[in-house]
Amino acid sequence: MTEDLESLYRTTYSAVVRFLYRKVWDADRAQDLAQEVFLRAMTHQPEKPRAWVFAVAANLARDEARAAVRRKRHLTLLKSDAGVLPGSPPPADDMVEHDEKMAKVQRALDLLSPRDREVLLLWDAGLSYPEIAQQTGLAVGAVGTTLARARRRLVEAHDREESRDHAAHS
Amino acid sequence: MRHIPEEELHAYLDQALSRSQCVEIERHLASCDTCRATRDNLAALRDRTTALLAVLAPPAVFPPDFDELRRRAAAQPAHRRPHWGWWAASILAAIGLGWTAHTWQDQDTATPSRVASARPAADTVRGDTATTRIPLGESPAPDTAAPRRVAATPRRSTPAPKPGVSRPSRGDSLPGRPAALTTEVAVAPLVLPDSSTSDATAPQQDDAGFAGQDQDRGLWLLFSVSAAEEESGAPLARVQGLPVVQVKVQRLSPHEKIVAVDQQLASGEVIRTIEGPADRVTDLLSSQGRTPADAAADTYMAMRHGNRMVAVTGRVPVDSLRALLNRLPLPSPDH
Repeated sequence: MTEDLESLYRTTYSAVVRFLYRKVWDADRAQDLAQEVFLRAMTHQPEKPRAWVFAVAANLARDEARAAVRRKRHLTLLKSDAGVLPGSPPPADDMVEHDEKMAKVQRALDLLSPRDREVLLLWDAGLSYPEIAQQTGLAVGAVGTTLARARRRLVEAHDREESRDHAAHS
Repeated sequence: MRHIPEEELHAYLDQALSRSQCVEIERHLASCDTCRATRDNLAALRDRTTALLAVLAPPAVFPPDFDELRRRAAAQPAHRRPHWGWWAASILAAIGLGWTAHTWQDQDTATPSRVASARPAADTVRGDTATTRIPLGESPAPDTAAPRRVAATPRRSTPAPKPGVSRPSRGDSLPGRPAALTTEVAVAPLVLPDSSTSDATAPQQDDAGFAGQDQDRGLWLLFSVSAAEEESGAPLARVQGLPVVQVKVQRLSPHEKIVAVDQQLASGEVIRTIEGPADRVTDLLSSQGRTPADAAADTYMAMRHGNRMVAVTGRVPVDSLRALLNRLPLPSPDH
């Protein structure tokens, strides 16, 4: 089992880090969490390690986001700034500082519904339809539909913004 | 001519379809310009998605040495901080929820302190499985933590449901349940079956100690969700939207079985949904660990329909259990 885990580690580590990065938007934190995920996998020896790893990663990222929101809310209360709504993603401006291209894609991704976004990110991470189905609670048949919609929306949202920019600069 | 639906083409492009489905689609594509064009569009869409998402990547990462990870895993402390969720649950229980008329206010026995100190700390995805056991039979332990299960006093009659009673949809609040239902709430020391690292491929004993004590009671077999559903010809009793960590089935007789589905909450806690004949599920819920250290104080909430019962257990507050139970379908009377 440890052998399987080792090869899984080698083959999916980057995908897990990327997956986490798209939730916590911090490269170092994503790496830390990825390490934590695989540490837990070693302890628990799950039967379906690949799906398990992404399920745990998603949960860790969610805990992280909640903690961050709580901290932020605490700070904003102290500073009496406008509060942050729990559960909402941090505004795009906070996240990635200087890369406008990245920010654009990020904003487009943000426009998806949480479920569509999750399915898309899991697919991009390399999970199969059945694995995605199990993790999200969707029927396997619904995964294709969700991906179809998510892809279309992502591309359209991104292209809309692109064309707006071009119009503004022309 | 019927065209291929877009989602099917997406699945086809993602290689998520069976060989025969692919053959059928390819045959159609060979003779249909429209669908070929659609396929090309969708392939381009898919590629663009990949390209866009690729932008959202951190600087290249190289996995740290696996052996280093192994060392860290070995060095980890065995115990983590104990959950205080049980305290909340016991307090809630002591206050009373008004569900049933029976006395379980005396639940705040010596159990809390005993359990808090003895409980093996839980990790997130699975409970600390090394020490939990559950014998299937009833063997009330001779210590102070005797389970005080609420006797089920049906508040309404319990014969077969009236014709025309429809199943409540998910998310209905409980008052909408049909009359033939009884709900029990109990705060009882409950030991979850050992979700050990058994191999999923062969039917196996859950753990040697368990089987040794109750050989004639049958064995817990591990299943995948799809296999279990195929086997019973019906959907599993589980909460939609939560990842399934494990499915176990125990065949009580050729036509009877009890199913336990473990799922992970967003918090990391694992809950278990148990479905089967009411008396068997009740047995399971009231059984106890063999030693005080084994007994993990979990709470459960059950829903009974005729002679079937579905229950949700876990180290979560009773409110959460209720909410989870609401999301389960009614146990069907003739399974």
